[in-house]
Amino acid sequence: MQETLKNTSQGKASLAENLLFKHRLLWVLIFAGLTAFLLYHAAQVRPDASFRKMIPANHEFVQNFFKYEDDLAALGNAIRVSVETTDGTIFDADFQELLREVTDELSFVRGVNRSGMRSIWTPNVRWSEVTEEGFVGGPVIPATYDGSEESLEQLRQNILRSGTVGDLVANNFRSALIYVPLNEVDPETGESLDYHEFGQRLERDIRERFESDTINIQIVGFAKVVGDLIDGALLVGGFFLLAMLITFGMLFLYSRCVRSSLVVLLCSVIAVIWQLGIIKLIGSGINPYSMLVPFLVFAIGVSHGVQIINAVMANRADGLDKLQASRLAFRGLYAAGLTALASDAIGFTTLMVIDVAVIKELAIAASIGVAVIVLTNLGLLPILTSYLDVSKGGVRYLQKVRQKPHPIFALFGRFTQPKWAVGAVVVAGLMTVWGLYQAQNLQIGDLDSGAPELRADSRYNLDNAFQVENYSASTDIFVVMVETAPEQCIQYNNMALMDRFQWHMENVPGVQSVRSIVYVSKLGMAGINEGNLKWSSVNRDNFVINASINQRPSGLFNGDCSMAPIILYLNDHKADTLNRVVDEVRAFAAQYPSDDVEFLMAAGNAGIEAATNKVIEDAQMRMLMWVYGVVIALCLITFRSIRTVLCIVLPLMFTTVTSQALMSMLGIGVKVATLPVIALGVGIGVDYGIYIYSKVREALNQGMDLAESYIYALSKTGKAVGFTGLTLAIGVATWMWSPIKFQADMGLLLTFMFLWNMLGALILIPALARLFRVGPKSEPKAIGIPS
Amino acid sequence: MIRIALAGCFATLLAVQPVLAERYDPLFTPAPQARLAEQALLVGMDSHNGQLIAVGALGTIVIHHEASGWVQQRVPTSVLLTAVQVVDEEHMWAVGHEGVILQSTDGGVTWEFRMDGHRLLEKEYEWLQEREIYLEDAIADTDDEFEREELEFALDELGFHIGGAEIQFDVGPTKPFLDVHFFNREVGLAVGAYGTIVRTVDGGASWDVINAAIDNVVGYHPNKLVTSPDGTLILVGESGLLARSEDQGETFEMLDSPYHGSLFGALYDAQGQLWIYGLRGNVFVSDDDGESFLQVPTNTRYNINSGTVLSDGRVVLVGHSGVILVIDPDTYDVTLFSHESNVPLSSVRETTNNTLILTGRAGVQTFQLPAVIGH
Repeated sequence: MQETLKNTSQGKASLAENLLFKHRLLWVLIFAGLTAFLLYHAAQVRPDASFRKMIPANHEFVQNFFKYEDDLAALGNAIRVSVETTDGTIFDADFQELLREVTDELSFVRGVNRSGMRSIWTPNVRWSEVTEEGFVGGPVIPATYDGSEESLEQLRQNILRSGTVGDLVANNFRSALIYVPLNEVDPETGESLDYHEFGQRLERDIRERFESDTINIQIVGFAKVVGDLIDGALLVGGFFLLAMLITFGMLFLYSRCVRSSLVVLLCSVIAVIWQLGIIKLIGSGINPYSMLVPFLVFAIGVSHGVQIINAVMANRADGLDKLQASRLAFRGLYAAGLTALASDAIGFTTLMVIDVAVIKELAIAASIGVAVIVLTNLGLLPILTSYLDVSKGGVRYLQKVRQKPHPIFALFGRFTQPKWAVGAVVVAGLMTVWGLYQAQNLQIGDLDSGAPELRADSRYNLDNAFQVENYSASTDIFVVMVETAPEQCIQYNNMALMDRFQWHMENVPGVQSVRSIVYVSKLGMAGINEGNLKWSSVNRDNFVINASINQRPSGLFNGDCSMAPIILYLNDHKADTLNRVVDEVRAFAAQYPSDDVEFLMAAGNAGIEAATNKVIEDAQMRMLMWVYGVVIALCLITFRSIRTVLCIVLPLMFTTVTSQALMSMLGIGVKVATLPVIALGVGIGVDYGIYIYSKVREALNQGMDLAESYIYALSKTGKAVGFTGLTLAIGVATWMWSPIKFQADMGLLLTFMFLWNMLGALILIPALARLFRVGPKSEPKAIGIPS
Repeated sequence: MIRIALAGCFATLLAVQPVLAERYDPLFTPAPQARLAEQALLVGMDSHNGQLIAVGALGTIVIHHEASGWVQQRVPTSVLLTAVQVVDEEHMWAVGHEGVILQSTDGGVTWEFRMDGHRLLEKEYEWLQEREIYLEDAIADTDDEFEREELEFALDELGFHIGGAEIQFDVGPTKPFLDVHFFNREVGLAVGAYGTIVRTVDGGASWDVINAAIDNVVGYHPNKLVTSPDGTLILVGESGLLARSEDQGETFEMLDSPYHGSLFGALYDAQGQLWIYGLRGNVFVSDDDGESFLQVPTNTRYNINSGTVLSDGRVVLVGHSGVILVIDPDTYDVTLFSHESNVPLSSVRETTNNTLILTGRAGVQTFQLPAVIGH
């Protein structure tokens, strides 16, 4: 460090340095003002879990969905509340009273479409029966209901002939369900539904109020998922505090100086405030995915800040005053820091190839964050140290540790020896082969049942599992929109073709059942013929078809009868299942081409997921090519040697392959949440290689052999690399405790990649350099003449 | 000349119209081959020497082989098939919606149209016109005031049917056949919606419309045909429709119905008793070929759709909501079972002792009757 210090101290002050250090007080005031201004805006940032932003808006399926979104609304946004008794059955006066109360209470919750609610206590749920005289029927709750044994028996009879078992009453008669459709926009006030408030009211006014030792309440539905997501996202704030605490501890261990630890922390937090304030100002938001960005910005900020502090301390140890020490620290680091940050930013922008709004927001937020670090941790930090100085204890500690190199460096240094090098490369090679083998099982999309956004053991997914088990309904819904000319959606030939299509899809493995206007019409045909199954067919006479769908539920075709949804209930939303469904829809459309009917995919959670999977699958290769293309180009420009590029890039590829194997083993699919992780891992991971290799080259150029050069590089940057790897890992590791499944997946994978990249750089770079015969003699030749 | 020239122009215009894909018409589209064919809606079933054949939605015909299970057959139509009858090893008949009558002469492997709705429309229209002339002549000829009123009422009703038939030519064939019965390879009947009855004496090469053979001017649906061991034919249908024929369906005699609700089925048991059944759990039994009936209390309100006779002589009836009735033919004691699926059942056969094969909304299902106690 002595030598480099001399070099830089002899260098001339740059324009940027003069600009900063000649008006130090002014800059401090400007930074303070800007920080206050941006803090004001940052404080207004609210997590936003907009459904639209999480889906690939430009994919054909999603475009089709948007086209008919309003028409499909009647099918879609609803919650299902089940009330379970653990003591006896639902045919109990107290239980029925409770069920009535829950039904009433739900009807008062803001956002609920009262008239569409269905439970055995709502008057629109009726039983009916064919008699010699025609249909007879009535509400399921007997008009004379008084809770007596007789009226409960009457209720049981009515339920059995109302066809609501499996729908509103559990198959085992131990729970009953309330179907609650929601208004996305309040018809009176015009306000859109506040999912967070809605979710909290359900918890407070329904779950907490009515649950007891013998009563359980399960709540399932998209609105509840979003509410839970926002709740989970708010917890992330706590993780941020935890990450700050741990980072502070590490900073102190590293520097033994409370003052500079706090200064680094302060500047990094300022970077986060700026980043949040700016995204608020440019009208962008923060979503459960881009919430990762403040953690990364903080961690990257700290790792750069630490280098500044390190340099300031070294300069103070060499006897310079605090202003000089800070100026020289800035002079020595701003160019390297700028390059490293630029490479991070370019790495992030490759995420733009994924055409999903939340990921684009993540890419923008991350790029802004990295740009801000340049100002706060390369600009503000040395100004602050020039006033505040570093503590004497810290300087003494640095002088002490400088004397003897850390024993761990000797261990990593061994990898420059041929035996160790070959060993390391062979092990890595074997692991790569194993990883490639494992990665073949890597799935696209979400693999767990229920709401994949939440953990399998979350309350929501337990509730969901309960309802799936006790009621006849799947929560994985794939909607095919059948488009016809206006007024033609229930025309005979079109209905007949839909009928055939429906049967075709019912035969596809993974499809549980299919519902549509055709299904209703066929049931209705039997219904108007005294229940006789021999009539359960689409009739060629359109007057008869009209009569058969007289009692249809809403939403099975749109206002001008130009679109009728066909709803496929699937076993799961695994990529295989979705691919099969998509292929079979296409195969049917190809086999029965029609000028009158078009089978448009896709709505429903599974339909949208099919689109997302396709976009992810297409983006996966492209994104890897871009990330590696950028990284390789950057390394080539910096080092001008193909062998060097290989030394730096191969360990990254090793990490990419092993992390894919890890995903496959842990059952984490490639999805909106995990694909960006690979780009982030590579983009940030390359920094280690650049730091280490630049020092190795510096030493080689001075004539040292490879082993000496590597030890030299480790003594210069080893600690910084280790520290950076650990801070980055800690920043994201706290995410593993997030109640949001994809955040936990992101946290786990990023932690793995940051640590594995660090180890890969420390072990494989010297080993590969040895095998590629990088040395003092060959290296100068390589410079400037790419071989 | 000008007219011909213009026509030529139009012809040319028509010729250069882009070729449009033909509208999908299930009547003449072969049935889809399906992985889950035996899970389709199956409404008709018959058995012959232990081999089962079932028919249903989208032209599905499945035959059960001991070795390979249920195998779907190739069928030239995709309409809902409602009934099937096996005459002998080779000869089988199936009927269904849109006036479809199919025959197989190779044991069910291939099926051919013997009637379709378009031909049925023409046949019935011809018959209606002949009938109109017949009734008008009869009214002119009769002196009996009561008979004249009857005939005039019939003519009025016929007028509605003629008007309806004319509209049908535009709408297309909508009438389903609901049952088929052949006495041998040559002579048989098919009955369908709104009182349609067709009869053949040449194995389906030609058909006669004989709707007037029963007294059914309103046009109630005949639902089921059944024969006694000595060849008596019973027809049951909507609103208590009940008729008997002793000459293979050439002429019918109306019987006094014990019930004014719809009858969906009938069967003769091993003792020669006639069972008829229908809406809301109504079951009646007759030991004199339908002259008189006794109501059998069933303790169920679900529709009873179909039945069979077990090898031990007991009668099994099945109906909506998975209802299975087992009836002692001597005491008329009814044991009520319910299939766990709770789906509507449409036909039943016994395979081995006490094992029932059922068809219905959920396709083929089985049910194990408990072993008989004290028999």
